Amino acid sequence: MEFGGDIKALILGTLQAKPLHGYEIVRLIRKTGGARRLSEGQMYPYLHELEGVGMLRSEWVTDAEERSRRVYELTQAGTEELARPRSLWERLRSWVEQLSTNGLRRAEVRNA
Amino acid sequence: MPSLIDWYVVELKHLLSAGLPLDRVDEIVRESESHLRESVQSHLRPGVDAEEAARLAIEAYGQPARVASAFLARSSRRMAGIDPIWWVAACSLLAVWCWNFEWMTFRGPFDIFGESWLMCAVLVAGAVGLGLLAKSVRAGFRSYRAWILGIGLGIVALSRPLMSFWMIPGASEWQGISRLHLSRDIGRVEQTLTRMGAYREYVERGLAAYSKAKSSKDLPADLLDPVTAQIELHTQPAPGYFGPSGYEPVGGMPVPSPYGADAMVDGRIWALNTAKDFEAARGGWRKNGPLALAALPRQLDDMALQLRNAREAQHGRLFFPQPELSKEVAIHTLELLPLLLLIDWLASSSVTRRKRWARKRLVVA
Repeated sequence: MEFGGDIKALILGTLQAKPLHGYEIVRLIRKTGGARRLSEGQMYPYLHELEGVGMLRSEWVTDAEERSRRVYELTQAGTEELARPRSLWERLRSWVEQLSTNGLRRAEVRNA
Repeated sequence: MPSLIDWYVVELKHLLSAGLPLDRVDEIVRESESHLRESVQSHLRPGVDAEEAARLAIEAYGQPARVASAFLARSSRRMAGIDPIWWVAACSLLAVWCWNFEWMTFRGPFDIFGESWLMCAVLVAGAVGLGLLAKSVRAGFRSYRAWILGIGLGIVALSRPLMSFWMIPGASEWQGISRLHLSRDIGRVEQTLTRMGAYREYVERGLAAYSKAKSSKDLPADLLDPVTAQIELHTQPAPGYFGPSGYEPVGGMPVPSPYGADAMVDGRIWALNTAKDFEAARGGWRKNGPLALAALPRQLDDMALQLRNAREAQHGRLFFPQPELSKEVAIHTLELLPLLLLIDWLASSSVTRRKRWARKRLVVA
């Protein structure tokens, strides 16, 4: 799956720790500063799309206060999909680290 | 008094209804409402009343038109995971096939010759096909008339090779054995051929008995009662069975039976008919008896030809040209085409109305 921007990766990442309902997912994404161009309501189609391709599953639960919420959970496919951008990110980070370390060494050698 | 959230939900529902199935719309609306109510709670604090909190929640959630557009843009127009175009194609083919099975004559439920269950099944399949066609057009959110027309005309164009492949004929060109029933019907033709001797003997005996008899009392049981006669002819004891071969009822032998039953020898040759009384039965035997005996050699030849063709089909022969049969299929298909197009028009025009309405709302928003 190609990630359309970061929104789908953000959703999958948000759900990695535990199942959450839509409102919590949106709030968490907002807290990280992600998907600023989208309103809260515009994030739901992505959730549904991820569910449609089998990366999430959902069910309606009713809490003690009789509020019903649709809770989303990561599936195995979703977990595997999440690993992809993460490994890419890790590689990118190590390259950046290597570059900056090499740059520092060169600067040290020059200064010496 | 309805709150802002209630208004929002109604608006969103209307906008979504333009492009999504209603069950999906309900689910989206329910989830949006749950989100908004949760959001309202989080916005409530000293100095912010419920109405202001609702306004803030809606502002964060987005204009209904924008949210609806986002859903419409990201919703795949699929039915059970399949593009509606494939549903349209499959349903059109199913309906044409069922129509060619003559299900619209409602013969199935009233078919006294047997295979009623099959005709009923075809009737139900045809109705389901038409229903699914309407549903898939709605799911596709547009008209598929070009496709339906293409499929219909394609069948008409291909009816000749298709029917030449599918039906194995005898000498009478209008009907034959389908490839689906090939093995079963070969067995039946073989059986019938072996029983034709008994049938010939029955007709000869009947002719002699009816010419001598003064009343029904002078006749043996198998010339009076169709069930006994069928047992005599080694056919099914229950009256009635309509076979696939479709021979004309040349030489039907009338039996003065209170049961009003008809019978055939293996579904191929009409052996028995009913008559209202002894005199009518005798008249029938006098008229049909010689005809039946005269028709026997032709019927035997026809069955032999059909058997030969069926065996050739089993051994790989692909085509058995039958212009009459393919013409019938072409005509039936052309008959059904307007109905398919009408269903497409009705289903798609209701969608178009909703689309137009929603577009207006989106423009206003």
